[in-house]
Amino acid sequence: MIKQHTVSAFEDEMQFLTHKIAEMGGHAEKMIGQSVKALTTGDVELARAVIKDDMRLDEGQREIDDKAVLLIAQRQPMASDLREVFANIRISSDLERVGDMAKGIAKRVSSVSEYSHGVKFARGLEHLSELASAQLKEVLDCYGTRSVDDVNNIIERDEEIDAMYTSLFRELLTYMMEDPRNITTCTHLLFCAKNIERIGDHATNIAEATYYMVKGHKLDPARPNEDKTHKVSLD
Amino acid sequence: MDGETETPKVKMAGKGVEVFYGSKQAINGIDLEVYERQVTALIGPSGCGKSTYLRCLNRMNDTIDICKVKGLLTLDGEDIYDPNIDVVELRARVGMVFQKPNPFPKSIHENITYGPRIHGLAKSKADLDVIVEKSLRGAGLWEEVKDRLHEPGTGLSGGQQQRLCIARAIAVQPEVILMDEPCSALDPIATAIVEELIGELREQYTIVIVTHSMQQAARVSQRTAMFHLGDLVEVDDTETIFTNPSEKRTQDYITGRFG
Repeated sequence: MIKQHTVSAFEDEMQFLTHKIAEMGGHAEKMIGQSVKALTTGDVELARAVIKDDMRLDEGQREIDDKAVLLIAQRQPMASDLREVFANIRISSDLERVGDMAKGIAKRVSSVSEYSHGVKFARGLEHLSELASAQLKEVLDCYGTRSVDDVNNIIERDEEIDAMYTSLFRELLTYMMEDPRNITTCTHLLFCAKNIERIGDHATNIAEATYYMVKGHKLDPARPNEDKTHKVSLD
Repeated sequence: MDGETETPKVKMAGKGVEVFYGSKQAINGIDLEVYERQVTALIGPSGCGKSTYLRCLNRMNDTIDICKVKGLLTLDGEDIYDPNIDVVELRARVGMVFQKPNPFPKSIHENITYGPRIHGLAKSKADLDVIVEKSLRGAGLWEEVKDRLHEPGTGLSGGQQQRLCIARAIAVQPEVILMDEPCSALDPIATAIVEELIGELREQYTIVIVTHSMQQAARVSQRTAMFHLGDLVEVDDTETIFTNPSEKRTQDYITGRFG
């Protein structure tokens, strides 16, 4: 067990950052779940609530930035403390982006739900979002418990998200080719799918920041990390 | 970065160094190498032995009767505790700057020339004047004092006095400069000036600095050695020590968790 700081206010400030990240993480997870639920059920009210909720993540990030800057100025953290402050700044910025992604999905709910097939097409996004949510949750558990032994396995699972995103991309293209009236909705859904795929990438960033925070060195790079949609063509 | 990671030459080395004050052991057998033209910082809580170790490097501990040093300490491979060694000459080669600026109660000029005189480094008054200017320039003090070289050194500000002491140390052309908390009595501006100076001195001299300021150690040194209760806990690149130390005791100390 790590010892406490001699200066108890320092301890409290570090704790504050940790708790704030946990709070932001929980909030981001909730926003993803709700935005996709709103999309797949055509629930415009819920979508509106998600859009409004995003403010809390923006505030959370600002708060972490302010507190971290003040802490660096007052305490000049070293070694593991320094890494932790640095990681917290990065993670909060990733979580804030996750919120933006969820908000982006929520914003398209009314357009998608207007179209009769919209909600049906959106179903395909459910599984993708479950994968991304699970990914984010596991990464945040690593952060919470400071145990990074499993981080590599978790990060590798991002490939599943990328593969599923690529297949969704094809599926939505097929709908568009079947009937040009599907194009508007499917384009909206493509953006939604892309947003979810991006959430997986942010989870990877958080995993890497957590690993550095705990271990003091960077995770081995050179991991193939991309979806294949840039190679999808019409034939 | 690469320039600094090339294997540098070992300037001073300690092997199995033990120090006793009477029956009390202050240092428990330390191996520590100091590389040429690098700043090595010694850190650790009060009473950890870092200043004691520093004072072994120019046999300053000889002046304390009950102090006994065992083990091997070398300068360029030469045993500095060899009975045949001239301690006065050793202290010219390994100079020292103390915590509190301690200029002689004499003029600025005389503060600088005292050392070169007793070591016979100058033949004429003109030679001495050259040394005075060169040393004061080296310590970044020349421009500030060139018009009042014959005023007392004690009339300078604290930061200037400390730089005068550094000028006095480099006047005898040392190879190594030992600094025992050189900035702890200085304000932040004077501290910054001395730290800047340490960076410049490093091009010519090997520097070993004891400091209680972790930030200072992180800023000025290339290698850092962590002491605790007379042991060397670890020594590594400064960058590593302050971002990812190997030893828990180092981690606890530099993050303020000691005690």
